[in-house]
Amino acid sequence: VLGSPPSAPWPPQNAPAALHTTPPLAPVLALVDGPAELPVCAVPVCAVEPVACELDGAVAPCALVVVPAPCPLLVGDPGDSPPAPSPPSVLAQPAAPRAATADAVTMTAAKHLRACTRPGYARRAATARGMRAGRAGTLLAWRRLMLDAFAHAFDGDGTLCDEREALPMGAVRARGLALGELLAAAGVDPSERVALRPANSAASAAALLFFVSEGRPVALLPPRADAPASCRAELVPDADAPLGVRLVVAPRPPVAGARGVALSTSGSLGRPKVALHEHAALAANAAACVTRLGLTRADRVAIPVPIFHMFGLGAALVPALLAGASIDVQERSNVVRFVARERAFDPTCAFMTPTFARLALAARHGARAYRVTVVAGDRMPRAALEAYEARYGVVAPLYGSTELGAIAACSPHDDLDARAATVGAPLDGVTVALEPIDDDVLGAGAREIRVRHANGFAGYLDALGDVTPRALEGDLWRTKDLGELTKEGRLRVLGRADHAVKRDGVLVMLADLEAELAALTGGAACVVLGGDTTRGAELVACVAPADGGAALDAPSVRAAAQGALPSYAVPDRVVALDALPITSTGKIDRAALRRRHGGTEGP
Amino acid sequence: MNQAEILERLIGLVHDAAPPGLALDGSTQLFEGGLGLDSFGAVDLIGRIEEALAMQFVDDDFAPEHFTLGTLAEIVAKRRAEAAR
Repeated sequence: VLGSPPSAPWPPQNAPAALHTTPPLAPVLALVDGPAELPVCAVPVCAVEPVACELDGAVAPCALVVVPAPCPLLVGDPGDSPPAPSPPSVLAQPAAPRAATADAVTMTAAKHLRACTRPGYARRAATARGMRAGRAGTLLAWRRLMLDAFAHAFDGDGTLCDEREALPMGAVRARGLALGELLAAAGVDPSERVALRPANSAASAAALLFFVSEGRPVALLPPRADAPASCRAELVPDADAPLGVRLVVAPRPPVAGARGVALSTSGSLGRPKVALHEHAALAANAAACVTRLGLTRADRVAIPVPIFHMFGLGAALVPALLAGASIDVQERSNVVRFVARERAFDPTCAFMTPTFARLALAARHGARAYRVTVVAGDRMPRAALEAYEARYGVVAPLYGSTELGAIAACSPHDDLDARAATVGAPLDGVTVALEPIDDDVLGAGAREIRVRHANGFAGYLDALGDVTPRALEGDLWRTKDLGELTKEGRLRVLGRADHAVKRDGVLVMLADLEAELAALTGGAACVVLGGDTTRGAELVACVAPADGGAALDAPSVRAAAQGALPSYAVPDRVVALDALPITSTGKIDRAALRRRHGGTEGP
Repeated sequence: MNQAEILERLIGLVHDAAPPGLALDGSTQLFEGGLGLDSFGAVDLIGRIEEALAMQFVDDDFAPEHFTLGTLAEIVAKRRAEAAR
């Protein structure tokens, strides 16, 4: 461990008992100083590396966690000068846990240190050698480290708001404690998974943050989903209840379930799956978002996206909490309400879909500088991004999934080209590999984004509350997205692997074709569906006019495409619509278009 | 054009898209429990009002107390009067 041992007793005497039920995650071994302006409450993680270490004479699986110092939970050298701007944050990780002695861990820590060029790092590397002594008192539990981040998160002077109330963070914590008492009084054990049907309200967010910060199992239910059979206790939003949520406990015995936060996938392409995220992993991924997006306690974060989906929860709500920022969760959000809340809350950051950003731009005439607007869920075309930035400040695209959480994100400090063309560099704890796809249709050249994510999900949760560990190829998760890495190491997402067809021997990325058609039609919304590929790839383009634009004429759109595109990329059919259907999460509903307008491409 | 006439124009603009059977008057809500506009519907309506009534909204007009047709008509009248000065 780098730096001097903690001055306070370790482990803390008041650590919650639940934290001592540890496996499979393990102690932290190394601390490295790093990024500047570390938010007081956040613990960003530079790297998490599974290793096996000798502890008290026995070999135990451990996580080598490299966190920046100064860290509120860890005591650094008091004589250190203030840290300089952030070092490289993507560090290689081994493919699998490997045996390591304390010496080897020291070597690994030193390797990370050597990757950094500042003198401070060299000094720390020297200190690292002191680790050979293996002071047990300085070993930290990774889980505890992450959950302690939450313990500090409610200490700040931020507020959690919605249109009805503004709760100081102390009151948010108090609500959590009261909720814990309510559950205990109803006989709900802390190890029992509780179903939470969160609305985007301060009350629901406070309840959600209670489960997340206390490390208690919780299943987040989308609005119309049934509670899983494994949850007998359910919390339902109720504005009249003292805590803003009402507890309903079914009269049946509790089911012991895996720990973690369960999130439903969107399920637009079939049965929703439920992904289970360990609390510590969720926190570590959120901490990585704090660092990348530069969130601080000075920020005021507007969240019009649902907090029961990964974008709203893992990239917005939890990071904002860890940063000590103020938070505004927006219920029944639309652009008019968003602007109304903007006046009341005065946000510095907002999280939204590209569609929402486009509509917000169309609805308004004024300008207002946000520090950053984080967009995810879809590609934001460059023209739209530039138009938005001209009036509302920097846009930072983020890329992630329900299963893995946030994978990559642009920093607000990235240049325009990087923000317009990529989703930024992989986040801390994430390694991206591009694997050629061996596919008759896509052919050579297409590469799928595969991800090794130290803080991704643990597995899928079945109806009985059991976890099916995530299936990996090697140790990489298949995103089913096609992509490429720029020479600077930023990720460019080209589109879904199943949103591409081969025509005349040429790979046609449907997303690229959509962008071309949008340009040809003066910014119309376009979706291209790939037809049955075994019969030779039909292309069907569904187009709808831009906001305020004139209705489109299908034959003339096709004629324009014929004039501008290579023959293999010209859609066989063009369907002109008044508007494209949208899912509840604000994405274009491709499945609905496919059902209505052909294209037999699956899934 | 006075405020009552503006309200009539607004009702005309939303009439076709309104849920069948919904009474359209000054108290009609724009969102839930009324016209049921989403972001797309709201942006569309804003654009059509601005075009039909030759005015522009400002951000301050997007306030919860303006979420009915009646208060919307009030705002439109106010912005038109300002523009005429």
